[in-house]
Amino acid sequence: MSTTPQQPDDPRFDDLRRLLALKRHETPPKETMDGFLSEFHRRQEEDRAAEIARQANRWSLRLREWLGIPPSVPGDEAFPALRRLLALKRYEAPPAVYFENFLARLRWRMAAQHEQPATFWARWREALTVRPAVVAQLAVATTVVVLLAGLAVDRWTRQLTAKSEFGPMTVVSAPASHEEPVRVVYVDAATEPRQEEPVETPVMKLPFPEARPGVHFVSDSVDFSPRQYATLVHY
Amino acid sequence: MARARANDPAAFDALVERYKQRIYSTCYHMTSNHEDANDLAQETFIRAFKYLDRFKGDSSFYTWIYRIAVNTTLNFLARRRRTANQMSLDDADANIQNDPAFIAATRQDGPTGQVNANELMDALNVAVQKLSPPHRLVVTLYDVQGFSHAEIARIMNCSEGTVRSRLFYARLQLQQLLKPFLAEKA
Repeated sequence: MSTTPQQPDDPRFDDLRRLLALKRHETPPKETMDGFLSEFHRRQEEDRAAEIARQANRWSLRLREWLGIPPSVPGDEAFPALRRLLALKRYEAPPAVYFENFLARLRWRMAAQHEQPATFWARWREALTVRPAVVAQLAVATTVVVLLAGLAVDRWTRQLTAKSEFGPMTVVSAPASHEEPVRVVYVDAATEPRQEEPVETPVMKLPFPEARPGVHFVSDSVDFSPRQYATLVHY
Repeated sequence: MARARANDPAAFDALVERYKQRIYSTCYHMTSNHEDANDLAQETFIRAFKYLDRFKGDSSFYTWIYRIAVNTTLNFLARRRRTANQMSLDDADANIQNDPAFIAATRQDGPTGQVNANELMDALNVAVQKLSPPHRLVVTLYDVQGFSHAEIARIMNCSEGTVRSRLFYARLQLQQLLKPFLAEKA
């Protein structure tokens, strides 16, 4: 199939073009356009109102409110007509008989709740609803506990790993044979445990590496741990 | 109040009678739904009765019960997460016909032509419901119910500056949404 654009008067599409031309006769009902402009204006106003709502909820304004530094804004004098309109909502009222039966309905509802107490979770949720400050404090406390627990577990795991890698080193007290490897352990002075009594240290400490006349140190392999570096040498 | 805390049912009933209309009005203007407002008003008084021993007296009982009503309503709206566009109170009070603001907004030669009270209240409620709950609350308490900035700040547990700021932005939004009914602009 060819991918090049077709010529406008390609005769293969004459029938199709004639069919598509019929769509020019499609028109909406006459009354559709009557309210089009007013609907457009209404949507414009809603769009502007939504933009104002976004401005009202931006994080910088909320931060200022939280810090107690709200912006200086015009007062009642800037909205006289709107205030008069909103005051009309005071005339909204339920049927008069509604408030006559209010107390009776309240008593019935309290009696019903007393007979069927709420579940534990419903009571717990209600208690937190009445005290939103408690919710915030619980959230902070839970977060701190979880963080501390995570740090403690991580530290314990690291200690466990460090201890298990290297056991007490046995020392080759006999002169080293040139055929047998000698395990030389370099101990990190910062982590070397304090000795309460003088103990012959089982570890042969050597500076690493240091050349000695007639002796060549060849490292066979190196083991690294957080505190000890063990290397096998032949000499 | 003291007798109510001593479990005197008649004393609590007196408190209910005194505040039921205002509590209901607040719940209704926040939800624009009579059934929801009824439920919320009843729940407010039930919780007030249950937690009466927690009322320390550092604020007025009026402020305290309003705070319960506001928190109950805001939590309800957060759980519901939809706007109720229907106005379930079919008729506004007949006295609205004599209100100058109603007359000015609905006169035949006005911006929208002649509209009846229900249409105007519907438009008002739709616009108010488009506000976020905190902004809707400050408009309800200040412009509809006539609380002062200080009282609203105590009820909402925020500063007066925050109340003024929220009121300003709420009014800006409402001014856009109710432009056809407003003769003047800010």
